[in-house]
Amino acid sequence: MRKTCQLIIIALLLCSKLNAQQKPKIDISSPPVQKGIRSLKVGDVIPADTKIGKIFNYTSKTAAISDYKDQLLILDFGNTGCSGCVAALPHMETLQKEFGKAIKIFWVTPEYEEDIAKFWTRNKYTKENTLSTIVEDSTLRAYFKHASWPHTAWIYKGKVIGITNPEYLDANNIRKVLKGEQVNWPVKNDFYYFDGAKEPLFALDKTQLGTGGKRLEYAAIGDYKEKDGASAAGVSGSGGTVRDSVNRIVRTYFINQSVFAAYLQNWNKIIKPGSLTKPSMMLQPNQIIWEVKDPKRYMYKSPFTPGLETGYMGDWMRSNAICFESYRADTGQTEQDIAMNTIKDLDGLLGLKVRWEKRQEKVLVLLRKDKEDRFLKPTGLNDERLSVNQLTYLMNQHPGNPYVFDETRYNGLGRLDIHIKSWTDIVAINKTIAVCGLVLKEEERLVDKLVFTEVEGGLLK
Amino acid sequence: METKFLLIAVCFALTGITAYAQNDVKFDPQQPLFKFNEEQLTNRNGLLRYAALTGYREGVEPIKGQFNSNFGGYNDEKAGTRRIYMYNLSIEDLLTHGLIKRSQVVLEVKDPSKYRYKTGNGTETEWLRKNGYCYELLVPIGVLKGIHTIDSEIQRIFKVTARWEKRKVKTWVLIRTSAAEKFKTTDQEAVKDPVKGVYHNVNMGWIGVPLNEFGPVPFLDETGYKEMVDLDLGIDLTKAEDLQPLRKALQKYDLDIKEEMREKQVFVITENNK
Repeated sequence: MRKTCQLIIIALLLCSKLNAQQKPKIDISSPPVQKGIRSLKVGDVIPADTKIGKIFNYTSKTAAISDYKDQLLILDFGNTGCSGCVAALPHMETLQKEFGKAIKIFWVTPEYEEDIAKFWTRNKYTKENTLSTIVEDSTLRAYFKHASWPHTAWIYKGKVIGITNPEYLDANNIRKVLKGEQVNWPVKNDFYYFDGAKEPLFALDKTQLGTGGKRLEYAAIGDYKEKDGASAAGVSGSGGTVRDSVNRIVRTYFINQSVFAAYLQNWNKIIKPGSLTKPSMMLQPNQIIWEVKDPKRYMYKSPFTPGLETGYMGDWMRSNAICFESYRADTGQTEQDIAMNTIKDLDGLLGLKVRWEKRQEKVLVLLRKDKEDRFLKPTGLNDERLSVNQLTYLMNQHPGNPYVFDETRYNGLGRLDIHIKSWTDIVAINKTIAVCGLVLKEEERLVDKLVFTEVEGGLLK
Repeated sequence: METKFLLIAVCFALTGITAYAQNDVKFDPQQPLFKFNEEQLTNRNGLLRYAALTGYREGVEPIKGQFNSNFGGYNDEKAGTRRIYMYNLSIEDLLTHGLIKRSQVVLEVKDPSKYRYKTGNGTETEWLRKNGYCYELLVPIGVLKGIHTIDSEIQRIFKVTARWEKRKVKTWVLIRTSAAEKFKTTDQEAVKDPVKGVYHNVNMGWIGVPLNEFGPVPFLDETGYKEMVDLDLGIDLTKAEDLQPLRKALQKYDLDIKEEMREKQVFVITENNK
């Protein structure tokens, strides 16, 4: 009897260990997708009887799509390994609270419920967050296939009205939908991609070309390229150079890029790092001079251009991004030659002159008054007080500020116990940093600036 | 002269639609080099544009417009684009747009025979097959403010710089060698035939017209003779590149040409060294 009990106990233990071992690890890069489900597009109707399998942090464990037929249903796909997805959860919770019963936002993840439950109690963005999460999902993911996160599906009165990037998930857009306004957001499609390396953007008319092809070179620009609302090159565009060794041709192209990004990428291929006189090797907002009527035609709001109020990046790209292609005989051009040709092509076709140029300007130099170390020891990785080298970095983030060079020769991790109210009030900053033995000295120096100039008003309509 | 050239060029760049004689029924000068797809044709954001250079296109005639201009323009109202085009021209002609007389152009280049056709270098068509080019620029309607964009592009392609300058240049100066008026008109019917070199009952300065247009250097009439003349030179003044036959023909009338350096506004085309 005793032996039988022991055997039963051992068997039970083995079973439970086997069960635990049988739950496979979720590969986030390729999570399970329910088979036999057709991907939905904008305009499609989602089957009302679609079941929502397991829900965490909700009044019930399961639901169906039809439960939300009178609400705006928003499915935001993400996972705990995607820091941007997680950081956006409080924003989604705020939206849910703001719009109440008119909408239902679900975070959707393929991860196991127990893992989500553990994560939820520990992470600063999810502790006390009341947002409902669909877990262990493979069904909704099949309807809204994607390869990057976040990925947001909008369903209103049973119809898919949008599949978007996270920037569109805001109160403004929710209000639009609830008011009954038509929306036409760019579609996030991770699988549509125009391969400019295989197919030229511009097709020659052989009837017009005739025998002229013996010497052929061109540079051409077209509008933003999309198909069924989706960009032909993802969010940030694409590009490349194709060398045809048989016909001895070099073809350079890029798809769906801002004019600014196009120039910057090519100048970066030409300029040797550290060869320009500026506070940082990285591009910073105060390194750019706009001598144009409207810089918003050339670039959207970004960390390089924080002063440009351009609305949704997706919408801006649709109206202002360009596709470019050039075609020339291969004469052995280096990558730098090709980049310079592209810059000159863009200059010619857009009526611009974009270059790094030396300018005599007033600059500020951060210096130590003396060698005394008045800086505070950092308390650890989470010490959020300003460090010495952050001072110049933050000042250079403002487009209207002069260049600020750090010439303290301080390489430590010391912190400053100061509070800066405004990063553009130089006088106040100088007063504040004086207590730390630091001073901003004004000088005139010959420095390098990235200058965008419209020639004779430019060639944009 | 420079200002007149610019004004004419600007007018045509902005508005001109020139007449064109077509040899090849398939080729259409009003059609662009590219077969645009639907998206490109829609041109929703008005960003469509291109600049293209090709080699000689067989069977396509150069444009012959007003004031000897060699380019045409076409507006596609549907796509909102303006296209400027030039066909089968020398590099010199691409840069001068046909609006500057050859005698006013100075070539500071290694091999001028690549820039300009000279009589004796085979037929002009044969020369153009090797050295002729076509260029076209397409931009939104209304954005082109002048010829500057086209000029800059062509200069960049051929790695040259072209500009007006005051230079001391070799000039053919027409003078009298005696007080005799061997050329005085007999009041016949007025004739101006530059190909035969026949000028009857016209001003002396008329022989300068073809020489300035087609000659290798500028021509100046410094005879001071104001009356009408009769001259039968027997020389094709549209092909007078060699001075000696012209001098011989003029000497019959106690006229001559001396070569002198004179300061003139000239259009200089210089090869970039870099």
